[in-house]
Amino acid sequence: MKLTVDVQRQFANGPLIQAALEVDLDHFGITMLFGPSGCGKTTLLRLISGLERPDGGQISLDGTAWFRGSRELPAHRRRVGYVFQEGALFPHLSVATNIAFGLGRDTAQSGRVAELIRRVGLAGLEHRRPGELSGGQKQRVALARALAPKPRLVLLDEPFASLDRPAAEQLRHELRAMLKADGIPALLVTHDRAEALSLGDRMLRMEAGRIVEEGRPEDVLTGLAAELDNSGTESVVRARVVGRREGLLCLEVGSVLLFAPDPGGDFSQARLCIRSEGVALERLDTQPMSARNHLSARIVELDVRGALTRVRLDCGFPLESLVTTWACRDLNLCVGDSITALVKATAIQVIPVDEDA
Amino acid sequence: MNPAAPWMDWSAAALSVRLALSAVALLVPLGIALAWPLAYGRFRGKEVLEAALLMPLVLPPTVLGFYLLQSFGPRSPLGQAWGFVTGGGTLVFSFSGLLIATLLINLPFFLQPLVASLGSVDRRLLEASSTLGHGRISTYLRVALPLSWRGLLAGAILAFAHGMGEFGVVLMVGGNLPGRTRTLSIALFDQVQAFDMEAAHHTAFALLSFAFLVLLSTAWLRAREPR
Repeated sequence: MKLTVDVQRQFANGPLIQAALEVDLDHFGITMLFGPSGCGKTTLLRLISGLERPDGGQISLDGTAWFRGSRELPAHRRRVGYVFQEGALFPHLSVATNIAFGLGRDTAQSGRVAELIRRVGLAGLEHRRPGELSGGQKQRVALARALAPKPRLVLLDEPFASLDRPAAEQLRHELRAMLKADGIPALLVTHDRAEALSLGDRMLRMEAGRIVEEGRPEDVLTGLAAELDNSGTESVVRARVVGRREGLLCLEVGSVLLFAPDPGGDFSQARLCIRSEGVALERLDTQPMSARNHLSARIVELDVRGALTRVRLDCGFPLESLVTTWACRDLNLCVGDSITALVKATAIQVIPVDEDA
Repeated sequence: MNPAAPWMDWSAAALSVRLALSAVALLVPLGIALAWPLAYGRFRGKEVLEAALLMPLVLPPTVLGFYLLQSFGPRSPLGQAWGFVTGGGTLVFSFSGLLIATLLINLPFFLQPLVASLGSVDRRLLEASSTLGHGRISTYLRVALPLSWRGLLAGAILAFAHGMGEFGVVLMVGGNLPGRTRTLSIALFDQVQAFDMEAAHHTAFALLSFAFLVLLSTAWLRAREPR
């Protein structure tokens, strides 16, 4: 089954949302909806779930219209789960009754609720009220509640935004397994790069109400400014951990080895964000090629932007370097040249990824 | 002073209590049904409905009583229908007529706190319920209403208290038949007319303390409403 969305919505003092996307509902996968705050990510989720009505366009599931013209399938009949930023748990109901809320009476009696409580690690807290739970526990209940009726798709609106960092990382780590156990595909809104990279199978990048790019998270984020106040960009690549020593990780990217600071934790796959200002270029490598993070590369493109030049490299994987334009002239860089790229270990951010992502 | 006279007109007190309790028993289901469109509905003519339901708050009770008397009369369609259904019963000068009148005049007292409570329920909770497969009615009964119990209780108490003391409508529709339509507030009027000031003091003080206790309890309920 395929969910096809092509909708417009205009708010009085917001951007015009005009977004088109498709979600495959037959295969498990997490699609990240990534973009700056206020770009319309949450509104798009609300339009898909039926909580908000589009001004125009259409939403359909395999040709069955969910929204077209004046016809609209109400939210409660779409079988689309929704996890709100701060849980939105029913304060008058216990953990177990919150989770059972979307289940019919006969299903609620079956083991589904107990199974979910066990799976989200809340055994023993069944009879607590939401007011007695921590932020992380609340979001676990919210997730279990959304998954209980086995929806076709689950939409998550910045589900970790209200949590402190350790709790967010812990839950982020568990989220994938929870979704995967039922094979429910998910669309997750975030403005956090690391979150997008650690969780996403696919990424939709949104800007000012439109989806401007779609692809694998590492491809979409490569070349994108790392921070808004920073002219530097990043290269994002997949890597495999091949060794760890003295706080450093040895990572294999394609056939190239890179060393980077170890963020800790047990993982064997990662995505690396390499800041382009941390990649220096040298004509002749004074050190042997085996030296740490000295990569032999070929220049693919030179992008002169005033005093700074972006050098796109191929070193077995795509890499970007940001150098001053005068250094670029001193080195007499030309497209096609072979060169040595020196990657500072501290310019590499390692983001652990689950095995199957 | 007449030493043989009772401390209070107990049959009037019993009638007042019975009238107010019956009115509240009918008001709760009716008000719950009417509160939904008022709190969450978006439809044409909502303001008209709101204004119509709130009218008893500002209308002189005698005006409402006058129109009810007109429409309850044995020759009016409503009066005839009532006579047909009950086998010759009348609405005028009877407990049933009194009850309908009390119901109507107390509707805004019940609705206002309930609608205010419903309006303050976190919108996202209602949305969460709909994404979990519950339609509007189910969401109303399972989420909005349980979270508005304080408003519901406050409304019921206010309506009960107001029902105990209503004067104008009761006099117009029910007249002043001892044991049948003479409530406490009408008994007080009679006592003053008859210069039975001691009995009047008892009745008035009973109604006064009752009203104060009721308002105190609703204020207490509202102060504990979570925000």
